[in-house]
Amino acid sequence: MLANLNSVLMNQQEIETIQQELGKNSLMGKSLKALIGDTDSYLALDIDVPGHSPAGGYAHNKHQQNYKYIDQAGRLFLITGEDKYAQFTADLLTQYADKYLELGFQKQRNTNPPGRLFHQMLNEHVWLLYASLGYSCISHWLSDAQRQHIITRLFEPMLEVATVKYHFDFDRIHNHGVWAVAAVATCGAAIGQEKYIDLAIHGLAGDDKKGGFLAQISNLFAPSGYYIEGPYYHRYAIRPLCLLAELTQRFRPEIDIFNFKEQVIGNTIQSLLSTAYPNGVFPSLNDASKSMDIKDEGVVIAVSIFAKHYPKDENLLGIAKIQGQVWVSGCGSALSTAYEAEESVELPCLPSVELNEGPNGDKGAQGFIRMQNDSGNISQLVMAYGQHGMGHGHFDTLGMTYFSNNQEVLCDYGFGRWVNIEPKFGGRYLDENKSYARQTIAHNLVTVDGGCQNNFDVDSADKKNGTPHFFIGTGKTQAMSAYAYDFFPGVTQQRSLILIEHEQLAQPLLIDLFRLSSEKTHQYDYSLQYQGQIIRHNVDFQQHKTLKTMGDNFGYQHLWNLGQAQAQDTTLVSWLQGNSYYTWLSTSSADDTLFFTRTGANDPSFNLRSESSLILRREAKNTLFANVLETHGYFNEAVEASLDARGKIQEINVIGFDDNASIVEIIAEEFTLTVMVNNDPNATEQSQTTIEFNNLTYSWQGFLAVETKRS
Amino acid sequence: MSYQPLLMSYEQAAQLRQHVNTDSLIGRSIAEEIEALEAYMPIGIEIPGHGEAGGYEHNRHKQNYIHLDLAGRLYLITQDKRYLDYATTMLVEYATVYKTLELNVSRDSNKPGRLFHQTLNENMWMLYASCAYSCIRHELTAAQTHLIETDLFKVMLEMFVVTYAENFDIIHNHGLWSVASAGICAYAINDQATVDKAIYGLKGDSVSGGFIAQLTQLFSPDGYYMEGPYYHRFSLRPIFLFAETIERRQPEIGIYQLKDEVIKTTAYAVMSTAFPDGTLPALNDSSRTMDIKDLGILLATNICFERYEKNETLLAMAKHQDKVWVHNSGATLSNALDNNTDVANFNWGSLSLTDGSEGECGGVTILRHRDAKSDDSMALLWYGQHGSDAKLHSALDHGHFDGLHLSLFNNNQEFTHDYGYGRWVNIEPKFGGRYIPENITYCKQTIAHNTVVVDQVSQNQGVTAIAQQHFGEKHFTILGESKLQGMSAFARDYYPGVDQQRTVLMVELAGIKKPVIIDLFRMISAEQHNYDYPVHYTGQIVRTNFQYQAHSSLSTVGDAHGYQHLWNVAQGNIENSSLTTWLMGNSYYSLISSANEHSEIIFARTGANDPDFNLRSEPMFILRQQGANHLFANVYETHGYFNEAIEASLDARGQVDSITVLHSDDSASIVSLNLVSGKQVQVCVSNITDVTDETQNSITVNGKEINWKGAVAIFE
Repeated sequence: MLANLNSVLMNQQEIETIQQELGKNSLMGKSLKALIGDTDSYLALDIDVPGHSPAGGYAHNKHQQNYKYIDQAGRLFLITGEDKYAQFTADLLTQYADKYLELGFQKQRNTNPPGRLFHQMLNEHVWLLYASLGYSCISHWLSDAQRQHIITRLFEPMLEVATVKYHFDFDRIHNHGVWAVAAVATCGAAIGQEKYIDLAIHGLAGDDKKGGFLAQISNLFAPSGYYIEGPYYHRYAIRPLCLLAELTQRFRPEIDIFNFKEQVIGNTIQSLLSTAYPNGVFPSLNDASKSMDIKDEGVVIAVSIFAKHYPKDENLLGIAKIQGQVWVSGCGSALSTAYEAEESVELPCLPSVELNEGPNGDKGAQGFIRMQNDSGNISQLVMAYGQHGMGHGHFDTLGMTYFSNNQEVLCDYGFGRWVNIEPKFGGRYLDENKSYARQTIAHNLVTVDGGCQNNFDVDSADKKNGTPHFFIGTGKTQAMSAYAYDFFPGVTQQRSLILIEHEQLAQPLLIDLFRLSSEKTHQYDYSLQYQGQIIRHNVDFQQHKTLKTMGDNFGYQHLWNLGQAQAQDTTLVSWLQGNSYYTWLSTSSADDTLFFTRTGANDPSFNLRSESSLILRREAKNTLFANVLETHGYFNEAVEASLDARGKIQEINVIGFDDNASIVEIIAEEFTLTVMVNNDPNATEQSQTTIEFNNLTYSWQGFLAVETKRS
Repeated sequence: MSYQPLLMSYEQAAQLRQHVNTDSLIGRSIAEEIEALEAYMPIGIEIPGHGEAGGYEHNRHKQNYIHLDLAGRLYLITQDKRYLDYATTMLVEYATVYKTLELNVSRDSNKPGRLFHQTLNENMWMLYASCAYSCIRHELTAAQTHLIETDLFKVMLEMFVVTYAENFDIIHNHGLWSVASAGICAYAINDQATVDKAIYGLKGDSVSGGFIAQLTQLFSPDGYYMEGPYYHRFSLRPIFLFAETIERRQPEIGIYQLKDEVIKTTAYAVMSTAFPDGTLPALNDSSRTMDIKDLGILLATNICFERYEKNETLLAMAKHQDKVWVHNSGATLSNALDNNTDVANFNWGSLSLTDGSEGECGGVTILRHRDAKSDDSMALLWYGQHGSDAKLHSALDHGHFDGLHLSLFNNNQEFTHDYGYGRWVNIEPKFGGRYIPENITYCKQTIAHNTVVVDQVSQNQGVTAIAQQHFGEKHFTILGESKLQGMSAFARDYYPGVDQQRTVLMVELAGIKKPVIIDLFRMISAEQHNYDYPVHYTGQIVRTNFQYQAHSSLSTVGDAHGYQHLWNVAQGNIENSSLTTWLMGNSYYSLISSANEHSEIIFARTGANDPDFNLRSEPMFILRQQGANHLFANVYETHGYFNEAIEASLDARGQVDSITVLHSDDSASIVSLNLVSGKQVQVCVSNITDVTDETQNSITVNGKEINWKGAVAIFE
């Protein structure tokens, strides 16, 4: 029907395939219905092209919505053939063309240079990308004069700003750089100026080295596909990356982009997906929101792209099930068709995986262990033992988070930011992000001498990384262990996390052996970030009459000391979160102190969420914090049901530990577990360990052994 | 007529059989019951001894009666012999051991049972076991029937009706369980003499005790129960189960027609207090999560639909409940829903319920509003009598000192709320799942509610006996579907020498998406007092338009009346008007308040003097103002949208900028809302005690005369 159709990412055949799904109950049909409903309600509003405002302010939001709907309406015009969509897109683009050059540049608020529509170019690139896509869907519908107006008054000036005025920022090998090249390539393709496609793909220098898309995807990811800043920023980079890859395939098929560099695109998509919790939310590694999930638009696009260009993957369909939508495109059709072809699609239990870090995969790793119980419930353990996440990095090497029974139980605070909430510091990162959220004490690990890893110095932290010891990602006992050397001067740390499926327990049991060694005595604070209500504990707790902070610096100044207690031989604290009980038991002694804390001190603008933590404090040179976390029972207040509010584990004891091995014993009413971990950095799966503690000899092969005795 | 099961005839059971494995609501409800029973049966039958509430034994006995009831009913419906065997074995095993079990030890002033620590639970056990028995009785041997009737049911009846005679037929919520379980058990074993005691009372006069006396005397003329919806909904189950049994066995009594259909009236009373998401307002001791999916309300919904009227609101409730009672009434409701796919969310509309046996003790008014996007707003103003019905025993002192409390709801959440009770219900390590000491020291206190505290002391000094002598009085209500709804009530002398009047308006204002709530809280006194207006919110403070100091170390806000549990987090002085915005879920809320000289705001958080972590950690703030006659003028504005997952934030700032009191005395209150746009909205409320729609009001403000007719006028 459209001889001169020029849409960048949809051809006639793809359009017809999508049209057939209109009104159907397929994933594509549902996605179309949602897209139409959403777009129509925006079309009902008056068109407005405003000036400037801070992030989260009216103008900022309006520009964002405008580009979104330019793209959506453009696509819907092709799919439905309804002129109202073309008219809307044309009107909006024309008004932008009328106004764009009249708007001065905004004031610069951070290191990102300012644009005319937004206060940072990043947003301007996103705008350009989507507006170009929308334009490409309707350009054949426009008059010559309209096309010329939009091209010369809007797109060409924007390309000029991106590639000339800010050339130094254009093709950088960085997350934001991917948006810049994707926007420029898309705009070039949309207005028929293909030189911009090549600039974007090969860089301004044209060498595929200093910059450009191919250089970016060759250098941004570790061999595992992991992105150094973590899943939150990764999912943001993956959107332009996938869009530009799709464009490259269409306009420069000779590059064979989906097989480029050992399928780096498919690899990094899988890597991102493999970090997600069972509910689809991404663990907040480094600066990250606590609610970003796989329904994010970039991830939806990535999953559709993967389905189209890579071999069938059952887990991918399960992920699409959580997403409940596809990208309305030819790629989305491929996914929807594959999905509908299945009799039934199960929610995915992704495999446990260790994602290496660094260009050569030798800068540590991020570990993800998953275990599914009989009722289908998935537990997930995450440990960070890779690189520092650059400017967005948190000082949390060996930090962990734990997801059990449909919720994150041992939490990470996430970023200190009320994203896009204009009255909250313009929606930007808050001071408390530095003074609290990124500090070691805000995570689940040990803080030494009330400080912070690498003394909160990004340069020092960038030079270090965790050292993997072992990773066992299959079977009923899974585990990972890693070292962190000198993150605190003169202190070596090793953390071994073990997840055990045990027939006596409804949910997997988490064992955490956190070992520190030093020649000098230090104050070691083992902290856990929990949520919910304390149900019971076994210490003589003294609540303070007046609350003071836990300290003056390194995040401690934000923690109220609610009260403290002398620790027990096995210290036990049990809490209720949602419908589950959790009990933490830790080996300790009367010389240790247990603190109960809450965030909110020195927070004059109520920037921090009010959250609770436990800190077990010990003075020592060499020590082992041996911990177990049991998930148990069920509570439902609405139906007034409570089951198994007390767990089964009663005690945890350290039998012995040294540089060779750690042995602990965990005692429950009906069984005793002996956990044996090899601590030698040179150990292998074949290593035979024999060690004697208290005149008892323990022998096993490999990194780890767990023995059960019935009692 | 031959012996039939108590709640369904053999014929009705056969009809329900047609619904098994269908995708209708009744079909799914049957399937859920089968699934629950099938999941429980494999663990085997165990009859344990005693235990704590929430402890293993307690739970096991409870699970046993729940599944015993299912097995009996499902046997009739499915004719699966395994269910018959299961129910038979369990009944026989209980009958074998019951007499050998010692009486439990009571933990409070409730009487103990043999299976549970309080007879209430034992009543429930007997009720359900009797229903199950009636379903399988025709399949039992004479020896089995004899054993179960003699060694179990008759022993239980003896304990309740004779041993605990003084509590048996008492006119109280718990008394309903007692008579219903005895009556149902007696019907099951054909013991008409005991049935009569249950229905007409031990004295047989239908006045001093028994089911009829209870139904006649427990509720206000509007059906309200003084302890509040949480305890009220618990009484619906025995009421409806017993009534339905009576109607089947002795239709000549006409139980459903009793006292102008009091059974329907009282069911509707509790249903109609529910928030739009189905949760019940936490008036008095109450969980914050109890909702209309509760079994008692479910039964009431089904039976009212069958026995009283095919009411659309009941249909909408059933849709929300997503479940029907496995019973012929449930099938009726399910069929009706199948024929009505476009049922909107339930909506009881705006209404008032009187409190007190003659309706003479104030009450509660609820304003509701549904917007174009079908989002429901609700405002609840409480001005009834004190909620303690302590006639039975002291553990039933459930009243809170919360006169003129206001709860506000929209966007599917309660955005100014009541703390609810201090109790971790059934969580055994938390004080055996019973009420915690903080229920008295904090939750019941006035400061734990959204109502003014005078001189940092609770209403009626926090003393139940004094509180029982006071109740609020309605001033006016404007109910309906217009752009302006309102309610106003007085609480006189809850504090010596201080009268209070609260007027709450729900108003659609041009250009503001959600109705605003205007709250004029007027204090009337000849003496100077300290007035604290607390706001119990949830979420994160987003902005304020005043300076305050965050404290570098925290102390409590006060020493008594609940203040000892509040950490004083931050404090600031206010001049003229204050604005505080918070984010809760996906919505922003702003409270804009008037102030007088030396006004303060205190930001606080619960958790002080709470050595056992019994209290939830919740934020609140207090507007502290001094005065004799004084008006707190407030407007609550709901605005914007936030979604962190997709990083969207719209309209984080609202449109109301400030509020000014122009006039306030016994004649009228006049305030001005000053919008960011520069527009002003004048709100005029008549304070004249006997105001009517026709009352002419005339007030001079700044030399200008303002005239309006009726209780309220808004000039935009």
